[in-house]
Amino acid sequence: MTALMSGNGTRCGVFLCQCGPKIAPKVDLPALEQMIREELSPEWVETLPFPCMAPGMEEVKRAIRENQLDRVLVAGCEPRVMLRKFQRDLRELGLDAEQIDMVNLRDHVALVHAGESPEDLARKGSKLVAAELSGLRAIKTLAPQKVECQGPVMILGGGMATYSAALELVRAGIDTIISVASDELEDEIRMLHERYPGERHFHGRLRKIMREVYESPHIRMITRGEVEKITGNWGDYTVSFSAGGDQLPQIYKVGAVIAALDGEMLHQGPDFGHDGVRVLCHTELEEQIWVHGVPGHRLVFWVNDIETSRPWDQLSFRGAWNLARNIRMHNVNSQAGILFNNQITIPLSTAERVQARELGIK
Amino acid sequence: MSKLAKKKASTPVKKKKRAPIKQKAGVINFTIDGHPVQAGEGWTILDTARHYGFFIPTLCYHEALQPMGACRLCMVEARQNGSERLVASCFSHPQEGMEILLNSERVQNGRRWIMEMLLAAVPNSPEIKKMAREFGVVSTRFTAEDPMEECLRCGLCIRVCEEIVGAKAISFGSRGVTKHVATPYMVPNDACVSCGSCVAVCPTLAAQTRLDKFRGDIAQRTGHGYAHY
Repeated sequence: MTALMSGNGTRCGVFLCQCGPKIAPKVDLPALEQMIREELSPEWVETLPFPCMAPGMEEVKRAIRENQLDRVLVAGCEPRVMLRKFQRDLRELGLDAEQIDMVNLRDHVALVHAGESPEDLARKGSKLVAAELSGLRAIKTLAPQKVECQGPVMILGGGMATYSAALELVRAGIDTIISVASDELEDEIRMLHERYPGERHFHGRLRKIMREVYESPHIRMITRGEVEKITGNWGDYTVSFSAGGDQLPQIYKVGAVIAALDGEMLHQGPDFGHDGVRVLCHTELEEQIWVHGVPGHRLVFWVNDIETSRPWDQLSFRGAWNLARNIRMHNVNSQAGILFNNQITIPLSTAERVQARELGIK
Repeated sequence: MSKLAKKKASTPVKKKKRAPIKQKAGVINFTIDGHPVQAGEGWTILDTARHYGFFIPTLCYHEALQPMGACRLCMVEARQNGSERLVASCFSHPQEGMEILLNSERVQNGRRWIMEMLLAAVPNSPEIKKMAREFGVVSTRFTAEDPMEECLRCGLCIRVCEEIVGAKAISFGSRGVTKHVATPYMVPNDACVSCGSCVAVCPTLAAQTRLDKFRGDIAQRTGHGYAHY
């Protein structure tokens, strides 16, 4: 703390804004300037009418140049709107965005206290400035390091996130390798509903992304098994896939690795009465709807993630809700209900709950 | 440079306890309400006036954004070489020897007209009513089309969303008298990051009631009651 208060090798400048009638008459700015100078001892303190406008900004730049300041704190209005302007205008002096900060003297000091004296408000302002100044002094500037990245980028996964990441890379003209279940696009598209049951209305968008990735000259698809080992550093990774049996593992040299590992769809085992006829899993029901149409009988969706200790209960519930809603909307003879553990927080909006009541989904 | 301007330029400028701007090149000497002032290169009349402590009312101006000149409330009278005209001070630059009048009869008359039009355009805004009272305007001769209207179409929210946030979630829908702040095709979109910058800069707080129209039903969009996944 002592090191921070004494400067820590940095050169700080504090600029106080009068902000017309909004700060200056309410906060005792000369007293605040004095407190900052005596208690926080920055290299430069100055009060300006409007540091954010052209004359004020020129004065701020002059002070930074003449005093070789490398930390700038502006005590004025809200940083949400104003900080970007200072970061943009002071970039030409070699200051990074992190070397500039703001204290909201207008909203946090001048406008929120009724009946407090200007001296008291100045005292509060100095505390806020002290806190921000300590933060600025604690920041250490590091010289940027350049690392060469040779070779393509490998994306591990094979799901929706993989294709989205691949699309960004191939659009930027970067060679990319993705590991997928099948290198035939049509096979991948046909299997989409198995991976994302109940989300058929999004498949069109995903299909477009997949097609663009597939047709890019920068993409290479591999259909390998489990990842065995990843070694190396940024720019030079070695990824090996087990080939199964006693075959040698497949090894790839890549520049970067992106792990786009979504949740994996687990198929229902024989537990919970699954027989493939009366008790189906989600994907089987979707397949049936796709082939035979919307059923007209009674259906109960059982979201059993809690019972099977899976963490995907919210996703499962959304999948069950989407299917139940579509079935009820497309076949008036059908009945649908969702059975779930009471530990699940129901991931439905108010509008969806209203729709559930209207459709009679219990 | 005229003799008068030379005389004014040589008069030392009285400053209020602050370090003088050491501006050598490109200095423009002119007067504001008879007081000689100096503007640096690129300064607007508003920049200079505020720097010297003069008050000019504004509505659509924000220091962090590019000026737009939509509200015309910052109009001042500029006199030079025998010509007199009203200019918007937020984006007009001064010229050597110019005389700027902030409260001439012509300026006050113009402001009263603007306040009357604003009272009719945004009858439901207490901020505009208060501002109008300060200029001595308490009623309007124009017809208010929508008594509940609060948005004066100054475009601050649109500019902050584009220039500061970078989201471009909102824009002006329609043009002319039907111009209004809206999302493209009037459909709420997920470009809005719910940062609230539009509400922060809105002079009448109209953006506060419109925010949900911009970003839509958050619960519907994300599946839960908050903005981000």
